Amino acid sequence: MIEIKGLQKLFNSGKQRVTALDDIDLKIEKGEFLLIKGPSGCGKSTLLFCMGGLLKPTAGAVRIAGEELYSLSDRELRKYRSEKAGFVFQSYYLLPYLTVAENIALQKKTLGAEISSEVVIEIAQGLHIDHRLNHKPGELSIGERQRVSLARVLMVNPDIMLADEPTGNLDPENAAEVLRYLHEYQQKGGTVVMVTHGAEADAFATRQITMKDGKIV
Amino acid sequence: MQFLKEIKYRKVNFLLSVIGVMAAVALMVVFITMTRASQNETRRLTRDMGFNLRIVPEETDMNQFWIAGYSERTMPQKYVQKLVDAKAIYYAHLTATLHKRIVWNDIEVMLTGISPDELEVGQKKKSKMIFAIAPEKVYVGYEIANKFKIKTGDKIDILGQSFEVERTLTEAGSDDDIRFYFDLKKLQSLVGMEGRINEIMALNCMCSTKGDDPLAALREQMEQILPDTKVIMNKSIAVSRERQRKMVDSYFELILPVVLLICALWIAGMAMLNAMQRRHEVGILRAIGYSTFKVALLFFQRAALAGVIGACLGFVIGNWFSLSYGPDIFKVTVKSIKADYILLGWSLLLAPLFAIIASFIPVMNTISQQPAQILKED
Repeated sequence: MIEIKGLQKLFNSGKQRVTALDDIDLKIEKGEFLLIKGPSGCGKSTLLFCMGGLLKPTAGAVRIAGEELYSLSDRELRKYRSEKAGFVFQSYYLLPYLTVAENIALQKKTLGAEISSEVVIEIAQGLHIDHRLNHKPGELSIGERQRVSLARVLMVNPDIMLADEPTGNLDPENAAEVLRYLHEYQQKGGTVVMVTHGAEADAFATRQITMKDGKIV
Repeated sequence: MQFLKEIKYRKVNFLLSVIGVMAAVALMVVFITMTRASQNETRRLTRDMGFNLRIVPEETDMNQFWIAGYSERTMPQKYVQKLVDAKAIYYAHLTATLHKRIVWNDIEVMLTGISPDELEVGQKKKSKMIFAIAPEKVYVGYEIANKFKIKTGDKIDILGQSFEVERTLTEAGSDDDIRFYFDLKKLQSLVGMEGRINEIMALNCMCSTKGDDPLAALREQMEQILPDTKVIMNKSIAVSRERQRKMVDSYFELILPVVLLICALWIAGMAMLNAMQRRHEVGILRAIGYSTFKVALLFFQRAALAGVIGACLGFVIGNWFSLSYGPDIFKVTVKSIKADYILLGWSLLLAPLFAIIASFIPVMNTISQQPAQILKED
């Protein structure tokens, strides 16, 4: 489903060039729950962003279902990000001035589709945040906020869920709950690629890779 | 209406943006209203310095002219109309006059007839510089009135005819103090010079002359319209008038752009603050598929709304200030200070545009970053 070949990403840091990704080859099949592990700064998030169409690599290819991601037009790339990929971040990135219901519908809105309040409620119920639909993110607990960001992704039912340390800010109980939702999504046929430091997701993973200095080791 | 929800959430920043636009519009309204009032006032005050042009017959002996204070030669009164019909752009407040020096009660006095028809070139109506005198009445200069104890309402005889004193004039400190003023037609018949005048008094506005020598331009124009006349300019009045007007114009030309620049920087600062506060929002919106245009629209709708609200408030405040304090400053042209609703239209059109342009750079600077770059910051 996702095929990465010879991926390289260089960043300019002052006068120096830093190699964030160094000749990465990786294949991810549909329905996998892949964990990417490694120390801070090893390139895990950079790899995730490249897979999500958020960061153009310096060299190499990212193919999604056989199609080269970075040869797509801006419009097609946006469509990929709103329709095929879903992002869950450590910092949730909810819009503070929108209600929970509006935040959940946000990504789906980019597709121009009609938002059914029943679907929003159903997804919110599944994540136990249905009682919070009219609240603002600032009124939610940390765990609830992460569940709202998950709900935002689940609204579009993407092919692939890209999660960048989604449990990094959560207590063990909430972390376990979020992982359970990711697992549920994977069990229903979705593909999960998750970047993490810890071992809490190991039980759900179908595969793990470890990175160091921009390489898979 | 996502942007309205954001405004509600970040009220203080929006309020500060509105204040920036409001200040810009209010200052613009105050400056434009006050500039107009100041220009009117300056025009009026400098005009009240007196006529600065004298058009006399070509053959006038200038020695005699300066000694006597007028030309002994005459020209047809219809010359005034000729000047008007020719649309002579450098002349305003054209007034036909006739002067005659006589001995009255053993002293030399000047008789001056003034046409009540002050003519203007073009359609624009101007307030009159001269006073109309009824045919059977006369105005008496200060020295004459003082010497002979003449009072308003007295009857006096001049060249065998009786006139009622309409007014005795205050001290002018010039030869006006030994002058009798008449209706032009009356004086013409009194001295047997019907249809003749010896001077056209006029005001040169200096607004249309280009180059360093306005008198040359005036003479060139006069050469074509009335070749048998010449123009004498009272340079001290004309130059002070011109300098004063130019000074007022350049003062406002300098101040207004500075004020607008400060307001633009203020609005840009507020937009930058807003864009910085919303970096992560920009990042996530772009990550989930919002186009740059759509994200930019969220910012520009906000700026446009701040522009519209700021324009309305600024217009009200600017007019309130102008109408409250303008009359204390511009006492002569107080009636010309009023709300100009065309300015409201321009403000509503330009203020949102101004706010959008001011916020353009900070907004585009944030939006043009790669979403990954923003989202990786945490």
